[in-house]
Amino acid sequence: MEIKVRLFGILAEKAGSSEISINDIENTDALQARIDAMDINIDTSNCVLAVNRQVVRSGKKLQEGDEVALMPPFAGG
Amino acid sequence: MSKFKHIIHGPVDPAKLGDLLEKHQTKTAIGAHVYFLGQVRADQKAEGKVEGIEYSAYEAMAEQVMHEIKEEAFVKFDITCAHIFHSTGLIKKGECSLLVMVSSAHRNEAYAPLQYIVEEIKKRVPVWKKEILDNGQHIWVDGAPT
Repeated sequence: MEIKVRLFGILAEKAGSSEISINDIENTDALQARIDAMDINIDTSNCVLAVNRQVVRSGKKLQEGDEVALMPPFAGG
Repeated sequence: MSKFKHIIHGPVDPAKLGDLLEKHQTKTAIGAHVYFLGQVRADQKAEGKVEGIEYSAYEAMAEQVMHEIKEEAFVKFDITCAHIFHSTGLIKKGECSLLVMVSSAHRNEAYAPLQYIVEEIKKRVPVWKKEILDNGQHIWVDGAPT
């Protein structure tokens, strides 16, 4: 199962892309560990993860077609 | 989902305030309007002076969250109307990037929901800011822990 992860803010700048693809992961904890291990200089421990536009704290199972976003702390307003 | 779009591309047009006011003048149960406007400040940083801020957003989620914040304000407070407009793109110093308007029957019912909406936007809406300096460099603004 391929999951496309949208990146925002400084994360997209660090990765050099607004989207990365991750294969063969079942849940958001595994997703974060995989991203942390990638050579794109991202530490997900300070990031906000959203699945289908809802903030997720840990261990959410992922399904084909889920909209996943990895975001830095929000700085709007 | 609200029929209103909260994300706008470019700065808040000052004429928007007058336009909003005019549209509400037929709603004669309203006795008070309060506005918040966020303006880009020309901060002096160690690296240089801020000439503008580039805002980016996870737009679909930002729209959803701003709608939720407005709905919460209607439940928590006694208000008649609430409007939010948040900019994306490059907003120059002196231009405005956020407009919140709250209307109610009485003024004392308007202040708290305005503050609530503004503070919740800052905490919960997926928007990011990059300060553009006069030397061409940029600095990402740190967000608060979420």
